[in-house]
Order: sequence, then structure tokens, then C-alpha cells
Amino acid sequence: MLVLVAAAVGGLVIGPTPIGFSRVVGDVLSHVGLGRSTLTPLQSVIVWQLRAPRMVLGLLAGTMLAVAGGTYQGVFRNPLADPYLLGVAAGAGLGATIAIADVGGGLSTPSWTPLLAFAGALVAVAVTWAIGGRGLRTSTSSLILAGVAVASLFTSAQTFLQQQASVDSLARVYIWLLGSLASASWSSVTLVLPYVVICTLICLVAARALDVMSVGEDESRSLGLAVGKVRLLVVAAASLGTAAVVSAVGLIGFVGIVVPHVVRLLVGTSYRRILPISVIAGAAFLVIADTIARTVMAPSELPLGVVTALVGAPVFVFILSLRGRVTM
Amino acid sequence: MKHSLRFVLALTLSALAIPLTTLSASGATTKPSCVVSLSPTATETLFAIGAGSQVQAVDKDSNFPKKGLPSTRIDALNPSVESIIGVCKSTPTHPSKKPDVVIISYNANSIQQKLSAVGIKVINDSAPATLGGAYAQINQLGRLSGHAASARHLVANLKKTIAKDIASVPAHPNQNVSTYYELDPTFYSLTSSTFVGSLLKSLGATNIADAQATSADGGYPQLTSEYIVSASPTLIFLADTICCAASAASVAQRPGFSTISAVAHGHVIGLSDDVASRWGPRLGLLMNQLTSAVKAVLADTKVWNG
Repeated sequence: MLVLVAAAVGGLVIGPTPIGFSRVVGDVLSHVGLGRSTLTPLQSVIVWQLRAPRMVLGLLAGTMLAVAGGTYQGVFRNPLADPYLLGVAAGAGLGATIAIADVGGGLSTPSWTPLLAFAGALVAVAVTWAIGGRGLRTSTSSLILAGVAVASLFTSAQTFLQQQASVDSLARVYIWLLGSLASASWSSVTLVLPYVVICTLICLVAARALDVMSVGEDESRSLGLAVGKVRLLVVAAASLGTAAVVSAVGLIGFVGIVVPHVVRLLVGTSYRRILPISVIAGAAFLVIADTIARTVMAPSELPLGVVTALVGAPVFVFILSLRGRVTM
Repeated sequence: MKHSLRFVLALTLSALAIPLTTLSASGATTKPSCVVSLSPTATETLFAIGAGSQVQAVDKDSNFPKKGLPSTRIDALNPSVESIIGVCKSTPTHPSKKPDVVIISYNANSIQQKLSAVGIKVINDSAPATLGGAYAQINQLGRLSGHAASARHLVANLKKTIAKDIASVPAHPNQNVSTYYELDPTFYSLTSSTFVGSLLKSLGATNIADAQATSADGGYPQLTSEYIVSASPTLIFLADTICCAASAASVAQRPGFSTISAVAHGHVIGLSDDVASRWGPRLGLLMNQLTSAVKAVLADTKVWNG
């Protein structure tokens, strides 16, 4: 929890424009009636209109990706499962490409990109479920295979559109695919917040069921668990939340697969511990990664997905080497 | 006597040499009938100097002039030698099917080397860094297409227009017109070392991107919203009005941007993406727009009186 608070404060304090730590903290406290702010109007704009929504969106995105990743790993009992398993990334990428390349015309306004990315992500998951599912009796392996097929299909369609697009569109699609919190605003936070809150809560409530499912589907059914319904519910919640996040920040990889594993290595294999801790760990991780991304090569910003991979992978390998093999 | 004869002979030979020299200076006596332009700027220039009928294929981004462009389109990002070779219509006077010259602005797929290997002349007219470079390219296209005089005339007109614009901006030693030139909504900009940047510099404007430039960005750094808000430029140019629907209204809605001087005082100028990114015959139009904007800022007392 301390790490989360430190990450959040760091997200407000650290940036290209030097604003003292004490002044930022003083301004935060003044908002809750403790003391007076000493920030200039410009500094206040930078902190509250630029850095704060970026930090909050980072917290929300990190939370959702980590919880969704952990949930998927529990549902599919697969350590390599991540939030993009059922085609969310490919669908969102296709939707964003359609918007940015202005396919068909009339889509050049930036507001179309998150909308079409969201729609694309949901369509991809729906197609995956339609192909790989047999209603509530669908098996995890068929879903995973369907997800791979759908992802390949959507990615190839995206590649085709990119090839037809202009150089400028190509560059903007590439930047979107790398993922970024740079375009965060309070309106994007407001849009994403209800999805993250509701979907995370659903996943957290389903944690006990995920623990039961870890012993196997047949065994779970024999214990009275409605495996099909639970799977449908958590996959829907995790996918919906991930789609909302991806539409706002692009494709940020690594968070959803590594954070739950790191948490698992530290606190054990019960999802009643993994998922709540992943809320905090994922949020902190992404905000710290974003702070690194926007400062380490200032004035340029590194793509956020590069930082999450560069930072997360060695940490994961280190912890894995200390704790042995990954157990689900 | 002998000296006189030599003198007359020299004069006679000089007189005979003049037409030969003139012919040599004007380039090829036969105009190329198959020109392929994979550069939107070169396309505009060729049509402006009267060589439009010689252009038999253009790239997908060539969209000006609005009428008269050939229907054959080549993908400049992924060109193939075979598709370029086959575009030309053979004529009785020009039976060869190979293009006479291909103009590119970006050497995708090493197309320059591949076309040269099959004996096709390739001209790589990438974006110049200065006005002089732009004029040189226009003259070069004039010589290549057999319209050298038209090209020189175009260049002379552009020089006159631009010089007039520069002279019309009053001296402003105590007023810093700081500019932010936006190339796309992810805050890619350009510095004074670029072509358009040099135009702004000639008008006495400063560029907020200059301080953020690194050697790796080639004059096109990506800024951050925080930096732009902090710098609070007095003038913003949007070169992404078509691709990305950027406008003064959309810029004002970005977090923190309403506090920027240019936004607060209504000096956010939308430019046509095409005009703003090409260095051909519409340079004069671009310069007019830049000049008008700078003069409007200088004349706005609200900007300078706080």
C-alpha cells in the first residue's frame, strides 16, 4: 500500500516542469482543508489537469489489467493467460486502425478512436465465444484456440488496413498500439472508472469460485460449482473491463501476465489473496512505469509498453529464480 | 590584317556557339513523355509548370491539382519495380514502355537502386531544409520535364511573394512571437532547422520545439502536453486539420490548453495538411497564412498587455 501511495505521489510530483515535492503535497492537502496551496495557476493546471488524470488513469488501467490477467489465469488454469487472450488486443487494434486510417471517411475526429477500439475489442471476444463456445458447456481449450484464431484474423485485417493507409496514419496507429497515458484527461477517467470498478468487483467476488476451479472442471462441478456460469461471468467482466481500459490507453502489455504471477509468488496461490493484492500491485506498477517512461529520456517519452516489459521481465525472472517453478 | 581576321573569326564562331550553348543550358530538347511522380510535392510542381500531360502515374497521396491527375496510382510506401515499369503508354515517337524519369521523396524498398539498375532515371527530391532547396527542386523538375522557363517563372513569383510577406512583418524587438507547430495530435512538432521552421524564423517568430530538439529526432521532436502548456506559445499552427480533425475548438478542450496564450487570445490557426507539408507551388499560400497569423498576433494588444 505504501508503494501505491508513493507511486501516486510520484506521478503528481515528477514531470518535465519542476514543481517542488512539498508544494505539490501542500496543494493536495489544501484540497482537503489542510493548509494553503502555494502553486501558481500554471503549476496548478499542470498538476491537476495534466498529471493527476494521467496518474489516476494509470491506477485504473494497471488495476484492471492485473486483475483481468489473474482472473484469466484462474479461469483457464493457464499461467500464460493474459487479458488479451481472447482477442481483445487484436480487436481493439483493428478498431483503432479503422478510426485512425479513417476507413470509409468521417472517422478522423480523435473521439472515434477509443469508441471503435472498445467496439472492436468486444466484437473480437464475442466472435471468440461464438466460435469456441458451446454455451455454458464450453471448454477452456476450445476458447483459447478460438481466441488465437480470432486474434490472427483481426490482426491480418489490421495489417491490411495499415498497408493501405498513408504514412501519417501508419505512424499514428503504431503510436496507439504501443500504449500511452499521455492523452489522459478527467473525461477519459470518468468514462473508464465505472467499467473498472464494476468489473474488478465482479472478479474479486468470483475469487473463491476461481479457487474451487483450480482443482479442475469436473471436480468443481462435483463440488456444486456452476463452472459454465462462473466462466461466462468472469470472462465477460474481465474482457469488458480490459476493453474499456485498452480503448483509453492502447495496448499495454506485460502488466496482465506478470503482476499476478509476481503476487502469486509472494502470497501463494489462492485467488482470494492474489486478486486483491493485484489491484494494488497492478496500479502501482503501471504508474511507476509511466513515470519512468516520461522522465528517463525526457523530453521524449518512451512507449509505456516498452517500459512495462523492460522493468517487469527481469523482476519476474528474479523472483522466479528465488521461488522455483510457477504453481497455479 | 591577320589579327583582324582572327578577331572576325572568333566573333563569328562565338555567334554560332550561342544557339548551341542555349540549347545545352535548357536541357533535353525532347520532352519526356512518361514521368512517374511518387511525391505529392513533385506532382503539384509538374502540373504547375505545364508538365501535367507528361505525368502518367502518381502516388496515392498526390491529390492536387484536383483535376487532371492520372488514374494510375502507385503505393509510394511499398512500390514495386514491375508496377512502375508498366505504367507508361507507348507512343510512335516513344515506343519504350519504361518511364523516362521517376521522382520520389522517400526511398522505400530501395526503389531508387532497383529502378536505376533497370536503366530508369530516378530523382530523389526529399524535403529540403531551406527555401533555396525548394526553389532548386522546382527548377530541376523544370529542366527534367522540358519546362525550364515555366519553372524559373514560378520560382521568381514565389520569391517575390515570400519576400513581400517577410517585409510586411513589422520589426518587433520587444515582442516574442513564440509558436507551436503541430503535426499531429500526439504533439509531434518541427524545429527551426526544418523547412517550415525556417519560414517561421524568417518572420521573426521563435519556436518552442527548438528547446526540446535532440539529435535523434531530425528536426521533428515529439513534445508533451505539459511542456506545451508550460511554454504557453502565443501562436499555434495546426497542420493536422484534415487527418485528425484538429481545430481551435478541439485544442481548447485538451486538458490544460485553455490556459495557453494562443488559445486564450484566439491565435490557433488551422492549416491544410497538404499545403503545410509540401514545398511546391503552393509555398506562397503557406507563407501568406503564416505571415497573416504572425501579424495578427503582433497587432493584438491583449496578448502583450497581459
